[in-house]
Amino acid sequence: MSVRVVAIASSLLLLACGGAAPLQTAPSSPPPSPAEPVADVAADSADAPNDARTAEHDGVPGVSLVDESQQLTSLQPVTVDLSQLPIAAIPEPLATEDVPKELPKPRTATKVTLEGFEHFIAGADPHGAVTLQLDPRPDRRRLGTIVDEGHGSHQMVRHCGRHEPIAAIRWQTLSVNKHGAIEYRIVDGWFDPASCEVSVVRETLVKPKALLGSMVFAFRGRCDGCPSGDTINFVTPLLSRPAVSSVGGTVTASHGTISLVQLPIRHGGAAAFEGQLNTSLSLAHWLDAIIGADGTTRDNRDQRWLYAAALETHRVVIGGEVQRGVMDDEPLAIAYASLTGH
Amino acid sequence: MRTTTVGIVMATLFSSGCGGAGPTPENANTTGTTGISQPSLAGTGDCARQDGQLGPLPIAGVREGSSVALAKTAAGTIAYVADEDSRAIHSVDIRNGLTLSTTSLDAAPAQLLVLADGRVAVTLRDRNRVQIFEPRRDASQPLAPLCRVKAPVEPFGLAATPDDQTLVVTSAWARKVTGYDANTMAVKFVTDVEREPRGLVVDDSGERAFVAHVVGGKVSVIDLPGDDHDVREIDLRVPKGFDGSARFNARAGTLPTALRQSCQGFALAKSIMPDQLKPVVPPPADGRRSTELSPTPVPRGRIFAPRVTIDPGDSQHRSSGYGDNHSSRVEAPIVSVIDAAAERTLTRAALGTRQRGVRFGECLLPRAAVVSGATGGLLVTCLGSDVLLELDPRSVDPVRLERRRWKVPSGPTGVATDDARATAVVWSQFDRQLAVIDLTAAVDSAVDIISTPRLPTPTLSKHALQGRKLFHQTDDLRIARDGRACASCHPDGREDALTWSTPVGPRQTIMLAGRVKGSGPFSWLGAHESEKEHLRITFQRLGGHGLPDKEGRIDEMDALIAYLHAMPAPMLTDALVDPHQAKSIARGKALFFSEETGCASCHISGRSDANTHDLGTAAMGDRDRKFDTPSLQFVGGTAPYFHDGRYASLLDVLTSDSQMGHTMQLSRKDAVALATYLETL
Repeated sequence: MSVRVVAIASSLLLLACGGAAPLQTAPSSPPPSPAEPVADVAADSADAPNDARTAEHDGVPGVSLVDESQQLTSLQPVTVDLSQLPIAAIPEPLATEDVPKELPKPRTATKVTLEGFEHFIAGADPHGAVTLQLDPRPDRRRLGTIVDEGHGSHQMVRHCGRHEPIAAIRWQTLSVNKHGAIEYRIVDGWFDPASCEVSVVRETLVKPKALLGSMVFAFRGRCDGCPSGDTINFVTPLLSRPAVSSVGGTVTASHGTISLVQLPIRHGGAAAFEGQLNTSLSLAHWLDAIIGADGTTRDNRDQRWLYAAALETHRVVIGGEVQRGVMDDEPLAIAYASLTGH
Repeated sequence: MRTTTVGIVMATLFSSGCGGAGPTPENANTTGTTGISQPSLAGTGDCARQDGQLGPLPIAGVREGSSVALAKTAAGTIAYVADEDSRAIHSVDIRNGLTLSTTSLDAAPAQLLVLADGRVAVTLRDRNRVQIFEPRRDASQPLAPLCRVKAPVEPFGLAATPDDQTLVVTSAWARKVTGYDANTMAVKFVTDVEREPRGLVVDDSGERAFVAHVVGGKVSVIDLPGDDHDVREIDLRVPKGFDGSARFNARAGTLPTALRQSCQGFALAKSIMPDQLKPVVPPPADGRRSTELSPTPVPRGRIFAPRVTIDPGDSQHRSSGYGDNHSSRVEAPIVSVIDAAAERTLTRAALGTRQRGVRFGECLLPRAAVVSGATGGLLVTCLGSDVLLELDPRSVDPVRLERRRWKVPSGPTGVATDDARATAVVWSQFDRQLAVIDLTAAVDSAVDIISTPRLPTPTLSKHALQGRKLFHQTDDLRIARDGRACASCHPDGREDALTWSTPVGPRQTIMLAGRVKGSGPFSWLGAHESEKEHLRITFQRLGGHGLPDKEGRIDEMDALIAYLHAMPAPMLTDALVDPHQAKSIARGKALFFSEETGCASCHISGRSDANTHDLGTAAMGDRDRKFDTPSLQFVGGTAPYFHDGRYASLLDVLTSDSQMGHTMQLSRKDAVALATYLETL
């Protein structure tokens, strides 16, 4: 597999300046069809309700920050049944000490050329790997990631064309496959700044469960042998002003075109996150990725406008939590979206 | 909101005897006039139930006190209301809105609790007593007093153990928790806790009591069985910043040291066991019932602690007001969730403070809490905004997940629930009204209002009553631009135990109740000659527009000052005390008035000399060096000490190397004696 990623510099500027998104653009995609079998899925998604269109019914009517009378409403929190979540065995990012002296040959790894990337925003995760969040479709926006280091959003700029060491790289994308199913893909590889090329070593694919009318997707992360234990992973539109909390374990959050928050599931502990959607742009990315591609019906286009209208005048907060008290038989997880203020 | 016509059985208003002997015990009868079979209720001793015939019994499973408590009768539900203004207990029929009787008291009741046998326990906070009543056969008659027993200063909160054998009482000023035999009211134990213990719950095993503290950001856990009654503390404070994740703290190599502070910890609620959740089947339609409730499962073994998280700013640096509101919100509501088995909070960060900006309608003065078995929701009453909130208890900070809110009359200090009827009852002290809330109905038609008899208010004038509402008013832009109320820093007219960053340096909040009238000049610098001047400056620092001196016929500033003068102060005498302290107090008093210490030369008769002094106590950030001599009245309950809160205890003050008085040379025993005496002022 060879993936060629083309950077669109203007999209960087667009996000940085908080400009308006082309909301009326109707993404083209094939009509929905049964879930696509995925060969390299490292998940038990076979039995899980992993199609966005069929999994969005958690007692929440559709994509509903706006009700039928065009009134803004608050989505009641939903309990996330952890036993129903797809499980993805998320590997640790490639270890820095395993960095090859030169990129592996294409016969052993997929090679990605980051064309047009004079520089991009990236961040170092706890393991020292560079992480990216990219949308590989050529007609989509793409941007480097911003990793929350716990002291506010932390950014770092990586330059192509410089003779810097090869580094581990990870990117994560949320997209709709040709059958209309939502896929979350985690790609690990080696990044050579000199050639601005990436050798893809492995991919992890999961079909997450839609919550709150596709405002949030979730899956359970499992890392055999990792000290962190299981996590519940929330994929959301890009969150601003994110905040996290945990008692036991570590919350990991990364924010790019979308946000990924990993909450540790600890017996005797708890973890939570909350972030704000205060620009229509973050929803535009989300809708491009999720709703626009998922059938592109007129109803869905209307919902995009309603989302945007809601966000122009109101602040929407998205959050997720998990807790398991010492006497609890099972962990309890919830997800919510609400309007700030009263 | 609907108002129900009030019917009062006037004959009952003045027929109660106060503190009189209990009625002659009668033999129990297992069948009463209502035809409900009951066990024998008669007991022995003055405090035990005398009339075992009949009467209201508690709602099953409810063992926590509040300013309103419900009891069931064959005919319906009665609400007992602790009306501290009228110094009375009202018995109100919830179904028809009639006040059945009013039992006059000689003291202000704080909380009441219906004991297992139908007796009613009441804390009399300004008499340092717990009084036990029993209902009479004729519901139109006042409650019959059985006995009253001493308690440490300012008894407030009540709870019973699951076996109904022990009544646990908090004493706010005395910083003590007392266990009484629920039948005889003999003291089982008295234990020390941190400042301002108020609401409490006993866990389902009956082995531990969890106690809320208004200040300090902690919950105390007390072992109940045995003789030791160990006390542990759970620190509910959260770090500043917006990341409560352990990883980042571990990376820094230390635990977070910069913590947000906390206040307004008046109440606790505990989660209900799953089998206690009662799906509600709507009764026959009465025109407003909506849908059948399906209660949300509540995580078991949780204690919910509503409070406010505070960033008072860096006291070493001056700010433009009270606290630094540039980096985060100065005050924000929070409900800490405690894993009772682990005795550990699950709420590690104040996520809500991340979203900046002024929000109105928030619960900045929570006062009572309970979990509804009908809905599974956590119900919290809020002064200032005068609402009852229903929060989602599945969250690690339920205040962020508000389900519903109901507007209630002014001053909601208590809440009780009748799960079988899916009803919540809120007592609003300031308006002296009950709100009966149908939890199954649409919010805009769910509230019935019941007024209670307007009895004379012995302690508060009409003007002061108006001032009390102003004092607790949140979201009043005349007072503060960020929604804070006077009561935010002065809960119950006391102080928040915090040192604030201000434009002139660090300032520890001072206690107001019982200390304002005639105590000028005001402020730590003694710079304000009148209360009005001081209030204007305070409002300015809070970013408020200020109260007009005259608004129509009402002078709100005068009303506020009237309340400041009339705030009830704790009564420090005639309480349950350690008899061994008497000798130490006498020694301390002698030291206080001695030339050796010189205490009384500035603190004349324990008050202020109305002068400023430079004692070399100016701190980094202080603009001035001379400070007003503070009154020592009620000094024992106002830690920490000095204008910058540098001393945690009176003993620290007395043994410090300061130029204030001459106490450093005292022996440890004498220093303790002097501190003990100061506690009595």
